[in-house]
Amino acid sequence: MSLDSQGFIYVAMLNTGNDEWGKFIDRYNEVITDSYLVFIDDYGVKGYYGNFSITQSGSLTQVSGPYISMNFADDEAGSGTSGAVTLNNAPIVAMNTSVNTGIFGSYENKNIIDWDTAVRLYGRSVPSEYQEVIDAINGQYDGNGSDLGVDGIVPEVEDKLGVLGFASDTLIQFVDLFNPGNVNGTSLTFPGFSINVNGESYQVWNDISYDLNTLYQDFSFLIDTVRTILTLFVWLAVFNYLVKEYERFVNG
Amino acid sequence: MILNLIKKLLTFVTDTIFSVIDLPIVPDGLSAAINTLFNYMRQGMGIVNFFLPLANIAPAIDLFIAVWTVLHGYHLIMWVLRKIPMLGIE
Repeated sequence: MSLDSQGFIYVAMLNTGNDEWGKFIDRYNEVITDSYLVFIDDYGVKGYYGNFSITQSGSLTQVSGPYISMNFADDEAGSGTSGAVTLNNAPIVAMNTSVNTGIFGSYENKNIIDWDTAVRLYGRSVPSEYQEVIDAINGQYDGNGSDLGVDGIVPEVEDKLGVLGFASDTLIQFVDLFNPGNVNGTSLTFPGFSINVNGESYQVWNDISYDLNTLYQDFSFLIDTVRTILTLFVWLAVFNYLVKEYERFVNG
Repeated sequence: MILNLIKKLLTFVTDTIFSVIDLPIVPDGLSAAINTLFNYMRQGMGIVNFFLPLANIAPAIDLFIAVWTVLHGYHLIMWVLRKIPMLGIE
């Protein structure tokens, strides 16, 4: 759910008749009878501590706890056509919609309608440009709320790739070896050894591990020197390779 | 809607291709052995990384791979072009 540049959430309250009630709908076009929205004010305080109001139109019902229940109804909407929800007459700076699956937005301001945000009043005709957005949102999900994106077919294709997939995985693993973030720790392990005598196992010695980082704590200068020399060595080797290739290329 | 169409199209294409080419599945034993090998190699790279930080030499490796690829690509292209007599490239 998004707010406009001024922090206002605009809601549409079309005054078209007496029988139609404005309600939130979710992305599956199901009416949400109890929509709870959590508002966060300037101080990061979550919940209802001030005077929420809908200007111009609509109504707002306060319930206990950090939530407010918003119920927009035509008979209380008056003749207004749109309104803004404010907190203590100030713009709301953030909204947490994790508890609310409703799609919310505006007829009045198309910018608020996006993939995550849309609103329409239940039972009313929807302008075509918004209908396209709503259809696109509905088409993105199946009836269970699962994403129908192309991600789902990747495992299917991987299964069918067989040895080709294995080869590519192996290649990727090999390349990842040179990624500093993927290398394992610096511990050296001398494996344990056991022998069997008359069917009984005797552990001669256990695994002995040594973390090279402890070496750095004691001999940091020496390790830094080794690192610098080895790094220089590699860079010089690459430089030497480049020079040789250049000469070979130029001289034919 | 579009994603659904893309998914169906991709599924159709992959099904068609892989119904013709039935690729064998890699045995579990081989996969396990390769994974074990890579675990050892990762351990080894941890030791290498301790003495020779990979972050310091990553640009050098990138440069080397880039130059090597360009040169060999050039030689490959020239080798192909030399096979065309009309071009007269020696």
